[in-house]
Amino acid sequence: MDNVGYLSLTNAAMIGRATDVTANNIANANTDGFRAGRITFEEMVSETGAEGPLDEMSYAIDVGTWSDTAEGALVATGNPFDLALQGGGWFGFQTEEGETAVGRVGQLTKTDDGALVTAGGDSLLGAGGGPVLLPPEATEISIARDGTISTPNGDVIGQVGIFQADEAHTWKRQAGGMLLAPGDAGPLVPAVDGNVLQGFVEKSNVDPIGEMMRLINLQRAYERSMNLADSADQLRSDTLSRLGKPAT
Amino acid sequence: MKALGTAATGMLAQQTNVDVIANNIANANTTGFKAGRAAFQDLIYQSLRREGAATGEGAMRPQAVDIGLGVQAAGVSRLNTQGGLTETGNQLDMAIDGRGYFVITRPDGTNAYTRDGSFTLSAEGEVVTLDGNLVEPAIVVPENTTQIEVSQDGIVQAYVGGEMEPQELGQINLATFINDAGLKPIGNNLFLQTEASGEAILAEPGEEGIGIVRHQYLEASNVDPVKQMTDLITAQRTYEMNSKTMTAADEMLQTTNQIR
Repeated sequence: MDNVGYLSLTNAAMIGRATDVTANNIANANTDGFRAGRITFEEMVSETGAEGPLDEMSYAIDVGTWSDTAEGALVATGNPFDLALQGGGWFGFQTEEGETAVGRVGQLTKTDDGALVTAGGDSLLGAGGGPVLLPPEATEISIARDGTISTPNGDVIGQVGIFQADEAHTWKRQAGGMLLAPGDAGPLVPAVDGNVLQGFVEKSNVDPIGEMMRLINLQRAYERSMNLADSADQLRSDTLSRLGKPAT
Repeated sequence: MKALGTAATGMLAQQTNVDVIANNIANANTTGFKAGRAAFQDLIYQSLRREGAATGEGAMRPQAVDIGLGVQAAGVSRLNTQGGLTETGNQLDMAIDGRGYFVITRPDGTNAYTRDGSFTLSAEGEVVTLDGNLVEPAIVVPENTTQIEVSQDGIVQAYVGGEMEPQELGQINLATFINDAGLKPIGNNLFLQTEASGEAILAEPGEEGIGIVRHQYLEASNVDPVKQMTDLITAQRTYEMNSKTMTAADEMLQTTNQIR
């Protein structure tokens, strides 16, 4: 049985997937609120059917992708509808499919019905769990650190929700920088303390140097596993030509 | 391997970003111009393994393998912040200090909206934009006018001939929108109302929440050149990084092709 060929094949396939994850991170290095993705592999041991020390071989297999939830850099923009969270906590969003998600995307625009939406169309949730709806006449708003939305003359018109998401790195990644809770999770839990900054945007948390290093490593590892397949092929070819030579 | 395509989406997105930044820099000196900003979002994720799938009796996979497919430009938003006010001394220059847009009648009779208050007179004495579009409501400046005054609440008065008392010529109204960001830019510093912006609401300058008119001032562009330059550098470097991903993916495929 040609185990070496399969071994290098699974290895190359897994490295291919890891490269896809890195490529996606690099593509989103300039996407505000983006959280870098990571992929984890584990060893899968399988019986080879051979006797002795070679009776088992271990293949690499991907077990899951997760999000790096480290904070991105905060950049002042001065735009009143740009919100960022300093420290922990998540903004809550209602996606266009009606699902509740969390995210750190804070580049918002006001729609004609007064909702605050991201560029992807997900609407920001208030502290009560429903979408924030601003009255039409509220065009100048100020948002306090605890998320309280008020008008210039001091009327409180709502509160931006800050939620906590336990194990958020395992939540399902969605387009638009959203993370969906696993199926059995209940409604979002408000965070104990949160720090909303108005006029700031949180950049992508992708570390360019780290991703480029990873890319180089992956490429070289891919070449190694391909060389392994090549060597195994050479070895077999040599064996066949030597054994196949008639004795003289 | 999707890395090639993913890198391509990254390069395309940064290309859009550079286009937006280039337009901002080109308009760094355009009266009443509002800087644009490209907003990006990550694309959908492809599930290679689903979470919750059974991995054995009573055990299930706690995490999925979701691989993202890149990035897209989700929209270009305008930063509707106040631009700096510059004194010009010109009799028909007006700037809006605060919210609101001047209302302009286009040749086809529809209205457009602008923050650019560098008006002039037509051959008939009407107040028009530099493109000759009428300012709404129409204001006609009589002959022999020596001086024009515009109050902060938009009342236009003229001193005609040797008269000591000014004549009132009209009232400049400002239009506001529920959602300024939804206005559609059509060039020439003009905007059109859309479904997203809502209907124009006319108000007199100086009313609550409405800007005031500053006579003999113009509103400068709100483009911050330093920010645009740093954004340009970031965009270019991100573009380069994506091209490196593309090279790596290409070389990996080449390695595959070389084994026999």
